[in-house]
Amino acid sequence: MIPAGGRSVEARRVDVRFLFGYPLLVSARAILHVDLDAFFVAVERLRDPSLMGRPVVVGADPRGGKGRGVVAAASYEARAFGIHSAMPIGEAFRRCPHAAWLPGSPDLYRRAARAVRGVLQRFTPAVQAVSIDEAYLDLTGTERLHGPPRATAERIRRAIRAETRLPVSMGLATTKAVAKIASDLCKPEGFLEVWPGREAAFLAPLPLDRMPGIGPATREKLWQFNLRTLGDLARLDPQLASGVFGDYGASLSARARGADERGVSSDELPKSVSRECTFESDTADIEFCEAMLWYLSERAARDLRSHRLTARTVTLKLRYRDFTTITRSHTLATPTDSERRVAEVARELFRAAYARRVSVRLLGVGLTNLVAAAPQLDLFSAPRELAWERLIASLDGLRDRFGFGAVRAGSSILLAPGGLASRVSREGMHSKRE
Amino acid sequence: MQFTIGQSEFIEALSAVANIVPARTPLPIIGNVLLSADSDELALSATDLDLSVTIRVKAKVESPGRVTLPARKLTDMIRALPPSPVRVKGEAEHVTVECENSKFRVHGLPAEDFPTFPSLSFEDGIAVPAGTVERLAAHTSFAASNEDTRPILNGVLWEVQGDRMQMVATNGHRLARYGVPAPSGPKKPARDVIVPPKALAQIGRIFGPDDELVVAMDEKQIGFRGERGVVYSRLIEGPYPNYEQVIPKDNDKRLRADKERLTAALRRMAVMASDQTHRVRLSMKDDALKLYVSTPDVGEGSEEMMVSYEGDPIDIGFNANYLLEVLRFVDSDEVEISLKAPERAALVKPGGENGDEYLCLVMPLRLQE
Repeated sequence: MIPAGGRSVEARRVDVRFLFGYPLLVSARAILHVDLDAFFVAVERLRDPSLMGRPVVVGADPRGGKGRGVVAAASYEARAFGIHSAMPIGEAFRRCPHAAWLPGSPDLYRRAARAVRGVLQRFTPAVQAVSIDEAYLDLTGTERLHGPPRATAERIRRAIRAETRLPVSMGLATTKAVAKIASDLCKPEGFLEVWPGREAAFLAPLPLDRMPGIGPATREKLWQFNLRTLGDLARLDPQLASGVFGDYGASLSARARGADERGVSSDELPKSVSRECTFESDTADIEFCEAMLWYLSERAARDLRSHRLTARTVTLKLRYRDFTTITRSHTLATPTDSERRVAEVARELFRAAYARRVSVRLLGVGLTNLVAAAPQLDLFSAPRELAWERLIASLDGLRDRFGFGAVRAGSSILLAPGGLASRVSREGMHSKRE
Repeated sequence: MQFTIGQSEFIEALSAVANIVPARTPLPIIGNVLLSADSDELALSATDLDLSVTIRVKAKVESPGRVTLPARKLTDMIRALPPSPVRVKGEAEHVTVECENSKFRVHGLPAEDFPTFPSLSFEDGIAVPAGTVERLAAHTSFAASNEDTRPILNGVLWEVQGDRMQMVATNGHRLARYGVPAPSGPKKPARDVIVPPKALAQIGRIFGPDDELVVAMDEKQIGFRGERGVVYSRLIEGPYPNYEQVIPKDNDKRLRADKERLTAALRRMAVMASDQTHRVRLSMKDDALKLYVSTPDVGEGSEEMMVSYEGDPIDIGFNANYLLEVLRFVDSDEVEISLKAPERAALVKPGGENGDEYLCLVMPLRLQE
């Protein structure tokens, strides 16, 4: 291990290129992945310190083991009992009945996340928040200002501690993927730096599913080829990889060697917004599916409006119980941020796409082709659309204060009291910024 | 077939019909013009299948007949010829064009393959001077939509019923309406029709302002017939939105300004406006109009001018291009703009006596809070 300090900076200067014949010293990129540990639980503990040191589970109501929702977050103490997020709440309850069971307070989590982001942005403008509890920071070139990146990372941790009292784990590397894997490995409250040039060696012994993007399905396929670790995948002949898995295979094995060209984009505007959910039990109930589509459209349109964007393309994602997944898109002539239009299109797509007599496992609504919300008012739709806009604005206001469930559209009433919680096992939101 | 015609007469007629020939077409015959020589007249016809035009010119016809020749080649060729008589003769694929010492052989296509023109009865048609149609169209066509989101808005509504004749066009963001007293004389009650602007644009190109036209129509098409030729067009079908309903009647804030000065000021502000929204902000208060533009990453601009303004102060945003377009067609020195609220349509009219003929609506842009 090389001691910290000046040599750390020195060691980062590995990439020597030539400009007009003169050698040019280029710093390797320094990307820091900051991940809040058991975020929801940590916030709950700020509110109620008696939860410290106890198993805590945030999620659906367990109803003495009969609850049907899922775990949203579990403290490390709870994880010791085998509880993890997305686990059915009933099963979690059986594993650890004496844990503290909390319903969650999204608004509080959002406020805490904003505070953390405020801290991060003091260190670099290149902050890319990828979800409520994770962000990438590009510290490349900040040595003169902040000192070596590993020291900066430590100062960031102390600042977050001091100002929000939240624990974080951090990974420092030359690429986003490696930095994320590093922070995952050192949780909780850890710091792991992967030296430039050591990415492949660092990844080699790790199991395949440590790599973001390798899920159970891909892992299963790779296992069939006797590939067990990222090292196995990295050593795979690129030609063979693309022969078997197509272009995706080639990119997989490149990633296993530590290649990841993606930059940290501080661009706050997402390129796509999507919402999806997996039903707790597969359903062939069309009405229920359409109610869910309305709900997902509402959420996605809401995300869109919060960025002052409008979307032209609506995509439906439909996964059958046998995991066959189809996506269907429709591009509108004029962009929209109205849940009504999004829901109408999603419903049409669903009706056209739902062709098999197999029940549905997952539904998703995605919005792409995003453009800044056009402020032009329309002559003909004016009275009706303005009324809708006002309605939506009031709903947005209500939901900001009292949470999304405070008001519900008639079109998604089927999901109402307890319905959503009981029939939906996992709900995901994504704002992709790259 | 054989005829002789002066080069300048020929090129004038030819370019008037050839401009509707589509640049690319899957049907080669559509790229050709039909030349029909009969008695002492040459008829030139072209079509893009939605719109068909025939122009008649005097010519010395030695032997009647019909040929079709490639529109672009023929136009380029005749334009390049000296101002002398041009002789065209031949049949189908073997047509020769001669002028002074130049001689061409052009490959044509059989005249029988040329699409037949619509058959409309002009007997019950309405009589209108070409100049009126042209003036109505010129003042309104610009406001029609050129996107395919609502095809109905790609057309110009021509209202010929009642004692006023008017045209209306809108793209949903701005609207223009021009009306004149209906022409007197024998006419049969006709329907209101939605005409593609491209068809209306042919009127001024083919007919003189004083030419008397007879306009005939059925469910699907419209025809304009005059001394010099005929224009047929497909109509746009469907109900036109109820535009009367969106014309504001209670705009209580009234601005009067010199049109040229307002136009010049808007042009200057538009330079700094966003390429996407072209937003400028207009603030009116006590006979002062302040124009203001602010675009992130571009900059800001402002300008103040004295105007006549009655009403409570107002701040309102517009697409500068929409305002500039409307001002271009206001035929008076003074323009009158009346307003109600920042999210309600502005009504733009020429100042002075002709104020009732022309009106435009411009929908505002939201001012970001």
